[in-house]
Amino acid sequence: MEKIVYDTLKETLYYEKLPNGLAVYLLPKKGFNKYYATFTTKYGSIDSTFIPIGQNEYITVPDGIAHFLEHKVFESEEGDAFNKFTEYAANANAYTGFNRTSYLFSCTSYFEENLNLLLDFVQDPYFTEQNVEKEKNIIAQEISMYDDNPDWQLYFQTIQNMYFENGVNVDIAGTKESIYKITKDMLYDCYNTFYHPANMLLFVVGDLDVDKTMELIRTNQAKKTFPQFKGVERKYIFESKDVKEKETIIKMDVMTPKVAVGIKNHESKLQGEELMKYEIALEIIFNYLFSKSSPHYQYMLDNELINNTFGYEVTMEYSYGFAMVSSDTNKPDEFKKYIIDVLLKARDLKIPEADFTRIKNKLLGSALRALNSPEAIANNFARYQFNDMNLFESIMAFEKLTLAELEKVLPFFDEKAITTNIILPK
Amino acid sequence: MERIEKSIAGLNVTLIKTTKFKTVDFLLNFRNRLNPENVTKRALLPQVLKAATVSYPSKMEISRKLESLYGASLGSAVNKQGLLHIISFRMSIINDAYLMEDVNLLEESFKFFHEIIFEPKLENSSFLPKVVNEEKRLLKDQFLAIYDDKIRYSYHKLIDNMCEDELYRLKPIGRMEDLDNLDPKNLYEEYQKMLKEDNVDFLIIGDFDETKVFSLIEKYFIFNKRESIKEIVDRETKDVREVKRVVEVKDVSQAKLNIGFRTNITGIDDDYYPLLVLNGLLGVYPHSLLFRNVREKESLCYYISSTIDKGKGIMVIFAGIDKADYQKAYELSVKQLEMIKNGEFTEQDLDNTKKAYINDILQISDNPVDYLLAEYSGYLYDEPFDVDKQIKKVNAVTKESIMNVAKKIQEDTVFLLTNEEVK
Repeated sequence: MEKIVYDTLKETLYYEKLPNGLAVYLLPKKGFNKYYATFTTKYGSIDSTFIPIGQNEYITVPDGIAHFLEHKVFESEEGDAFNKFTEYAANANAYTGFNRTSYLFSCTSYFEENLNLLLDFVQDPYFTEQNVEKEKNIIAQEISMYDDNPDWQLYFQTIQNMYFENGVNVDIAGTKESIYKITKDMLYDCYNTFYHPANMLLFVVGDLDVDKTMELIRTNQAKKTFPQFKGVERKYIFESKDVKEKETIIKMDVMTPKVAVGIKNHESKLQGEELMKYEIALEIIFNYLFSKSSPHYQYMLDNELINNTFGYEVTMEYSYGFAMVSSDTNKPDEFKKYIIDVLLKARDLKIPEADFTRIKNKLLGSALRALNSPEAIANNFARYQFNDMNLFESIMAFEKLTLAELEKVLPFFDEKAITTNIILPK
Repeated sequence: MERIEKSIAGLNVTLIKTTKFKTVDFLLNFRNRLNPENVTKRALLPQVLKAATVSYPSKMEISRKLESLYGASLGSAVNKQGLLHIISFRMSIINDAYLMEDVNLLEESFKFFHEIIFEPKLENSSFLPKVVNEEKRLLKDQFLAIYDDKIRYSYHKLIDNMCEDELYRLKPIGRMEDLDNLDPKNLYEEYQKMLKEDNVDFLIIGDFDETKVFSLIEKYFIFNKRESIKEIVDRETKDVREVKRVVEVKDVSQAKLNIGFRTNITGIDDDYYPLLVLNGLLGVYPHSLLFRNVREKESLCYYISSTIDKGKGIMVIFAGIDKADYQKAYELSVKQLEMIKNGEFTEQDLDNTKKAYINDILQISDNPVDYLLAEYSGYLYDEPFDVDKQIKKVNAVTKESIMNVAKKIQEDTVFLLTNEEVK
């Protein structure tokens, strides 16, 4: 077991790679009542074309299968894993993203039982034709729920505007048509390929006895056998900065129009330190351009282009990435023009030293605040590791970033990469 | 964790000392009687105060100041709790110990927080018209946004229909139709009234030197003595003769079902803990009856939950369903409550629900903001936040007490939002 100390953050992390390939990280937090664990596979909605383990040919599975799988993994021959977590007084949950699926629990008692349970239920799939059929209506209702949610539609349509082929252009839950094509055999193909321990990461946080916890995990894993892991063969689709649609308009039953301007990333192969610097630089630039402390924000407020729903975010992952700026607005065209103008001018951006320092301090402060929350750490940790980065190092990297490094990312701001999605009242 | 309480003239201070967190968090609450005449003004006040102060006369400058305080965060909220309307200001700063430079964030932040509350930018002894107009526009958008979120909208419509002539119908953000009559002058008067008459509570959690904190409070947060407001729960109710059914047709892809009940049990009543556990049994957890029987067994929905209001005693079941399943989903949902009434649940269900609540209670002290909110709520309901006592009360709930409580619950109104008329 390796011990990694982050002095300035006052955190100590423990790491071990188990013989079956599972990466285990433990983060002791003194004085916390809550234990929180996430068991995450590097597998999400974009991974629909791959060679199933033990086979030779690529297959393409229906959209939404990773999310469908997440619903079904909770079932075992003896019943629903939720019931067992309930007996051990834990809250269990799971979520599926574009490139990760995570299973988690939080508890304040029966920690060891719950940890064993988490490992056991995820590693013991039980799909039957009947239980797969039953889930389809539930997921169809989940999709309907999102259909009625304009913010969700705004976000996903904007991503769909950017991408031609990358699987990020399909809703994580799939469609009402695609999910009805899913069969139990497809679920097993996906499961066996992507839920191999060597493709997964376990993160545990709480007031832990580190040695005891690691021993429990080792023992649990040693009891199970897995086929040899030769890496996952999956098709990543890398795209140019061109967007599929420059602009879309959706009509929904809303009072206020909503606009999102997206900008697609072309540097989609970055990993590790390069990615870390790249995303921090963009994070700083977007804060400089659009945070409440910026003249742009003040201008848009004063001119009634935005309201309190205004927001922006930067998402950078392997094979896809984008930034998005959005708001509810009664002046959709003006808002769109203003944002695009700011984004295009950012190509020649010069950030004054004083602003640069202030924004770095702010981001450092928010990152430190997030370390208060065991959930936030546990939910994000795997994301960094799967991109060959580290969450704690990333926080410290904020302070080290220089203005010169910031300039290197400016080609991100390119007219070709920009798209707009507008939701208008019917 | 160590708790220190002290009254300084018109201010009640609660300090919670702990080394668990990397931040120091403040919560400053102003509470007064919920009143249709001034609720909208009060909702606008924190927004106006956060928009311009003497030294930081715009949102941009306020944000810059916050950023320079290592990303300190400043927030506000308006809530209602029974008969009370509560205006909250929150600030969170990084503990000095985590910063490399030698700074005194604590004092700087107190000074800044003071300025937000006490030194708004004024013109002719009232707020700036530009600020007030802007905040009126933003609040109006907040009213309109409710419609865009159909889950929230349908919930509000249930309450509108169920509590048509009751105080409870008021939203914490007030009434959109009041906005036209708000101006810098009458808002400023409301602000003066808030400073003079509201009951004010200051709660702080983190690692600090309490002598230092008390001296900062005495320096920056001076409130004169005032009358204390004792009443909290809202007993206004009506006798339900017949269940009211309302269907509204809108362009939705999923029908939203909301069922409102009157329990007439509030946070200060003996039956509160049985009601709390009943609600858990019914619709809070994956093992709850609604989730198990309506979602898992019958595949009728993705989300289905129940919730109770501590200050009023209203309970609501809400779910997203296919409109064709309306009758079935409705009957099955109501049946789950019937089952509780008849004692058709196992000791294990009960035990699991208690364990789940206890788990929730224990987690509160792991989050600084949750902890402050629990402290404040405990204070309002005259039951100081005490984890052990709460656990005891949850454990003391019996099957019989739950069945008795269930018998008192009356179904009041059903509201369905759907895309075409249903029978």
